[in-house]
Amino acid sequence: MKGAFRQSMGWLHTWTGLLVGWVLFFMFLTGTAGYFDTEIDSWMQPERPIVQNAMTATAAVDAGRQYLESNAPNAARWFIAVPSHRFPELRLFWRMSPDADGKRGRTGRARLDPETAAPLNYRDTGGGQLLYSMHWRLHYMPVRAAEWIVGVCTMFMLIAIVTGVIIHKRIFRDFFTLRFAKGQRSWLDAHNVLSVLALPFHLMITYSGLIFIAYVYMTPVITASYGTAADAQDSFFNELLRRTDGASPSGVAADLMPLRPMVLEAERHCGEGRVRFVEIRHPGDRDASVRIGHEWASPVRRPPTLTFNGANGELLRASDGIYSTPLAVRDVLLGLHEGLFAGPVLRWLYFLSGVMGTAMIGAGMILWTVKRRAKKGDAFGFKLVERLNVGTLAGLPVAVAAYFWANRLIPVDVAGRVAWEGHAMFIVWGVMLAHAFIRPSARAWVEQLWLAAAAFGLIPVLNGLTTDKHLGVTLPAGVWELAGVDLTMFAFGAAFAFAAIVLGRRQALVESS
Amino acid sequence: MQARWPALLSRLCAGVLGGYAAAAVFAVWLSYVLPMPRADAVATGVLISFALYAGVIVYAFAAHSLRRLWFGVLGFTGFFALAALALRPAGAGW
Repeated sequence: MKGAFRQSMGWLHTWTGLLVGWVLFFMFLTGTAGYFDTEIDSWMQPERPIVQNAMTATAAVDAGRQYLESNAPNAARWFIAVPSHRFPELRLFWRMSPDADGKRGRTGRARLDPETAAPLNYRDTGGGQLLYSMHWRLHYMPVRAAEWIVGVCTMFMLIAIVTGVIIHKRIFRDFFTLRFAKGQRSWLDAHNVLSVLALPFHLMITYSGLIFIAYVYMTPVITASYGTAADAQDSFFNELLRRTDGASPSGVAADLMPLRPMVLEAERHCGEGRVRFVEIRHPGDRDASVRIGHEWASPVRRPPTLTFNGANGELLRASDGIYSTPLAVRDVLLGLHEGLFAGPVLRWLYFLSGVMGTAMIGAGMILWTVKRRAKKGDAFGFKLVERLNVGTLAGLPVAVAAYFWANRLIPVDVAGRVAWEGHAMFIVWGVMLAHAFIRPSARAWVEQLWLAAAAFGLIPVLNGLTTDKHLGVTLPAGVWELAGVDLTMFAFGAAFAFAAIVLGRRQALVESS
Repeated sequence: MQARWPALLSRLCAGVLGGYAAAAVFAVWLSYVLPMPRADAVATGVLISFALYAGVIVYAFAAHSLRRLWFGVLGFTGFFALAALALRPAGAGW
C-alpha cells in the first residue's frame, strides 16, 4: 500500500510539474530578476548621474512639497519618497480627487534629482519593473486573466512541492549527493539538490504568491461576510487595515503646516536617515493628515508610521505597523516574498534561491525527457515537450538578454520604445521556439546555449560601446549597483558557454561512437 | 498509476473542483466561528484555505477508492456548508 501511495504521488508530481512547467519557469526567471529590479532600472537608464550626496529627508520633503504645490495643487493625495540606497531619486506621486461619477482620480508621478531637486528626464524604459511585473501579470493580457493563469500555475507548483517532498525518501542524504555525467541519475540528483537546498524558499515563495491574489481566488469567503455589493472588497480591506481617516475632506480650506518639524519628530522616533516616505491626504484642507513611514527593517511589510494632523501639526498616532495577528501573518508572508527589507547579502541569497528554483524547474523538465527518450523518443508528445524545453529553458534566457539589448539599441527618442523593449523579448522568444522546432533537438540545444552565452556575455561590451556607465567607470568608482548588473550578465554568459561546451562534447562523443 | 481515464477524471474533479469548494466552505465556516473582528476572521480563513485545497488535491490522488474519496470530499464540504449556513450572521451575503 505504501508503495502504491508513493507511486501515485510520483505520478502527480510528474504531471503537475510538466503541464505548467514552462509557465512556472517563466515566472521564476522573471521574478528572480525582479529581486534586482531597481538595480536593473538604474542600469537601463544610463543617463542617470551617479549620486554622490543625496539630500537629507527634511530637505527632500520640502523640495517634494514645493514641486507638488506648483504641479498638483488640488490633489487628494501626495506621496513623497525620500531618496534611499536602493531608490536613490526623490520620487513623487499624486492622485486627484475622484470624479463626480465616483471614478478614482487621475494619478501623476515625477522624479527629482536627489542632489539639486531638478526634475529628471531619462529615456523611457520598462526597466527592471517590467521584467519583475511579468512574473505575476504576464504580458499582452488583461490583469484579471493573468492573475487566474498565474494562480492556477502556482497551485500546481504547490502540489508539485508537496508531492515532491512525499516521494523524496532520503531528504538529508540526497542533500550531499550529486553524481555528475551519469545521465538520468545526474539530472535527478541536480533536481533533488536544487529542490532540497532551497526548499523553505520554494515553499514560502509559492504559498505567499497565492496569498498576494488570494482575495481574487477566494472571493466567496469575503462575499460570505461582506455581501455582493460593489464596495464589499473595499469595506473588507478598510476594516482589515483599520482605515479610519482620510475618507473625505471637510471642504474647509486650511494651510498645510510646515512638514520639517514632523519629519524631525519622526526621525527622533526611528533614528536619523530612516524616514522613507511622507504621505499627505487632502493637502490644503482642515482635515489634512500627514503620515510618515519608516524604513522596512523586518519582513513585516507594513512599515511603522506616525500620523500628524496636517492643519495644526499635532501628532495623532504612532503605529508599529501591526494591527492584528492575521494581518501580520499576511504581511510577513508578502514581505518575505518581496524581500524589500533585505540588505545586500540577503538580497543575493534571495536571488540565488530564485536561480535555484528556476534551475530546479528546468532540471525537472529535462529529467522528464531523459527518462522517456529511450522508450518514447518518437512519440509526438515527447517531441513536443523536448522542443518546448529547448525553446524555453534556453530560448527564454536568450529573450531576456534581448530585452537588455533592446534597451540599448532602440534609439532613445523612438515613440513607444517601452512597448518595443517588451516586443523584442517576446519576438526573440518566438524565434527561439521556432528554431527549436525546426532544428534537430540535440543541435538546437547547443546552438541556443551558445546564443545565450553570447547574448549575456556581450552585454557588458554593448554597455561599454553605448554608454559612459560601463565597467571601466563603475568598477573604479565602486558603483556596485551598476557594475553588479554587468558582472552578473557576464557570469550568466560564462555559465551558458560552459553548458554549451559540455553538451557539445558529449554529443561529439555520441556521434563518433 | 494506470491512466484509466474515467477514474482519473473523477479524481481530478474531486481534487480540483471539490477541493476548491471544500477549502472555500471551510474558510467561510472558520470566518464565522473565530472569536475576532470579522475582517481578521475572514483574512485567517483565506490564509488557511490554500493549504486545505492542496491537501484535498493530494488526497484525491492518494485515496484508495473513488467512493471513499467522493464521500469524503462531499461529506466534508456539506458538513461545513450546513454549519456555516446555520451560523451565518445577519447581513451576510447569503
